[in-house]
Amino acid sequence: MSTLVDGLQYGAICHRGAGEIIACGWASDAILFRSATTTALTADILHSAATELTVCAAVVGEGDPIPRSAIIGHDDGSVLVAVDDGAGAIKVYRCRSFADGFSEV
Amino acid sequence: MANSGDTVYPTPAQLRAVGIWVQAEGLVTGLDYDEGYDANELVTSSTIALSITEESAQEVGHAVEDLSIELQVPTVNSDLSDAEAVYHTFAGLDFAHRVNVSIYGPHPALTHADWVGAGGASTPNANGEFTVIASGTPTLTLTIPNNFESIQAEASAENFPEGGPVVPESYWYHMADRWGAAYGAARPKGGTWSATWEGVYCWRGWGWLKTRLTVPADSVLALALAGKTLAPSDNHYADTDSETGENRQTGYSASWTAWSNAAVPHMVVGGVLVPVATVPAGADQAVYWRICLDPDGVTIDPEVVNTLILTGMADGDWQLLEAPKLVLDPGATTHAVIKVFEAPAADGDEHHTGGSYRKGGISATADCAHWRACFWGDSAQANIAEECGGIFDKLISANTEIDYTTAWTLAQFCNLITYSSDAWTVTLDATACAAALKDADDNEIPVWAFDIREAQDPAPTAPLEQDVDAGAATVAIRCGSWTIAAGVMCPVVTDKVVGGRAHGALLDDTGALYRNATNALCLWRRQGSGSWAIAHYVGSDDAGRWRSNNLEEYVPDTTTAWAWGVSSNGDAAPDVTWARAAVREYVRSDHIGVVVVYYDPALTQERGGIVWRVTTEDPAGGNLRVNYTGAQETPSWTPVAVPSEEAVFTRPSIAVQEGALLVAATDTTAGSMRIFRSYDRGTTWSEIT
Repeated sequence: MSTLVDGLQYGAICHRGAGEIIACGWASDAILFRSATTTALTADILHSAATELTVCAAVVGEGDPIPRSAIIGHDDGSVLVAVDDGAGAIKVYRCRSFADGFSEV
Repeated sequence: MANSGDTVYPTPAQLRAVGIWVQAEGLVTGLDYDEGYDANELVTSSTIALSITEESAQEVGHAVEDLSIELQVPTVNSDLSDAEAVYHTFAGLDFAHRVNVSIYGPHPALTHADWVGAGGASTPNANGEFTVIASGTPTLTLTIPNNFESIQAEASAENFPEGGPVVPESYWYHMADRWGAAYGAARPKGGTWSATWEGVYCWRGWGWLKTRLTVPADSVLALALAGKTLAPSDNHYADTDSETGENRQTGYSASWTAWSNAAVPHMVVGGVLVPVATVPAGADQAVYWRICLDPDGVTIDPEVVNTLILTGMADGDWQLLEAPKLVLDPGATTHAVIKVFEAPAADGDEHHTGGSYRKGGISATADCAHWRACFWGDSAQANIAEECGGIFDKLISANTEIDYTTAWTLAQFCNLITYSSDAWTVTLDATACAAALKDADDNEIPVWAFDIREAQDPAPTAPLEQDVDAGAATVAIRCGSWTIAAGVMCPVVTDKVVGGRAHGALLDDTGALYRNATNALCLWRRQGSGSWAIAHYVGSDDAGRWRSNNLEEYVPDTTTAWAWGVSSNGDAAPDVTWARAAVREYVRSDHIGVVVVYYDPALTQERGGIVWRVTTEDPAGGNLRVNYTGAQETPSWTPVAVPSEEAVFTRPSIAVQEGALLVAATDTTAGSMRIFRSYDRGTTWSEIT
């Protein structure tokens, strides 16, 4: 499978521009972010050696639904990820720098 | 500019440019009927004859074999001084589909007591009462008598009484007791014709058989139908071969193909016929049996029905409340539709100059019955695709092979339709015909089988089709050229249909009729040996019929034919294909369809205002569907191929990456998202792994 979305669940992809595809999704009790610019859509190194960033923690208990997430590349250069918290609310996280990671808006 | 009296071959552009004579509301005749069929009214005061060029036909993707344009001209009773009283069609035919026809026959040949009980079922009495007393395998068997089979065996002996059958009527006519006047009459070579009164043995033109029963206890009923279909061999001689002595009678032979249909019971539930596993107890249970399609959806031509075997009766006192009857679908709004079409010449004989032509003819649908619902004849001059009652009967001299073939007159055609089965009753409407065709001196314009033409107001459901549920069909005076006396304004309507279609019964995966289904089938087309591409989607009506849009024959501006195919919605390629969509003919497939539903949408925008959408058919894990729409005010979603055949996806998303289309979705069976890419705007997809 493409490493861009490998192991992620209930997420989404988006074209950020200049051929970059960004993705989010749930894995291992967290919402993760990845990015790819190659034809093979392998996950790029974002910062240091990391190929993914944690958007937020998302612990899923047994029988609980996996949270769904959506992503968009904003015109100001940031990346926004919206996460369904499973309780009827949506939380939005922004990343302005891969080095700094995501923070809740 | 052409002169009056000239035959002209204008291109569409040239005809449009002749603005004084042409009301160019759309494309001029000869082109696709979707774009202005019959919309152009030519007003002339000279001889007019129209044709199109091969280039014009190719320009719009149609065949070059048939470039003529017929004209519909005003009927005699039109008032050419008053444009409000000009008629181009008239209700010249009383055309009825018969309803509630008892299979016991017109004499009748059968009664309730002719059913034979066995396996614990008694034989019914005259009131249809019988008992089932031994649980096991009770059966009730009815054999429908006919002379049709013995007539085929005896036809070549030339020994039927006067007024009896002769080839070809002997194999065309299936109406019960059509030859009744000759039963018992003296044969020319001695003896008498010991024919029998017939039941209604030919069930062509019917979708359903209805039985009314008193059912004492819940029963898993079944009705086994068995019969035959004829393959006649007719030399079509007009006289006798001087060398062999063979004529049309002695040269006739036939063979048979047996068929069977283990019909399942249907009952009316919520106004619609649905299959039922068990017929519940009741004093008067109406049970319907599907005739033309077996439970697996295999199409049947019920030309001769020999036996009915009813099984599954529970113990108790039963009664046949009335004779089994051939009936219309109680849940359908439109039942009987006819289509009269002229077929193009056979390949290599574009101008009908030799003995090679296609017969064209009349075909019909009646509820879910599509195949041979109006049919007679053999395969001589067969059409490319559609089997029908022919406009022509081939007739050739035995030795010199001079072709004497002519078209049937309208009156002859009425008889052929009526006698071909027990489904139709057709006669000329003498009053309407006289008004439309006769002048004050009783001069009469002749009309022919091919002059049966649909009226344009109200618009027909499809070109060439006429709904005859109201008991009438319309006719037009049609010609190749038309001359009007100078000074008379005469509106002439061009008459040209080119396109063909595909149709059939739509079934679900259990073999039941799939009614009112939207987008259940996908029509595909392919250029040469190229890739299949989706052309359009179709659904079904309330009778369980589907019909495609127009199927273009040729790739525009070339002589490369489109190949066509059909599949269930969502399949990656067609599973039934046709090499070419024949002119004006319908190709046929009784097909399993799948209705697509859409959940969990995601959108993305492409430059230029194109919006792409991905959905899943099931939020818990289903097929992905990708559509796009242009920048119009009201989105019109056009489907493209599915990224995957697996029905496991949820939470899809979509992105346009420069020239690539990307779809990602969670595979509910893999615990991971998967991603698919298309470089050809959704025509083909590959998974990025």
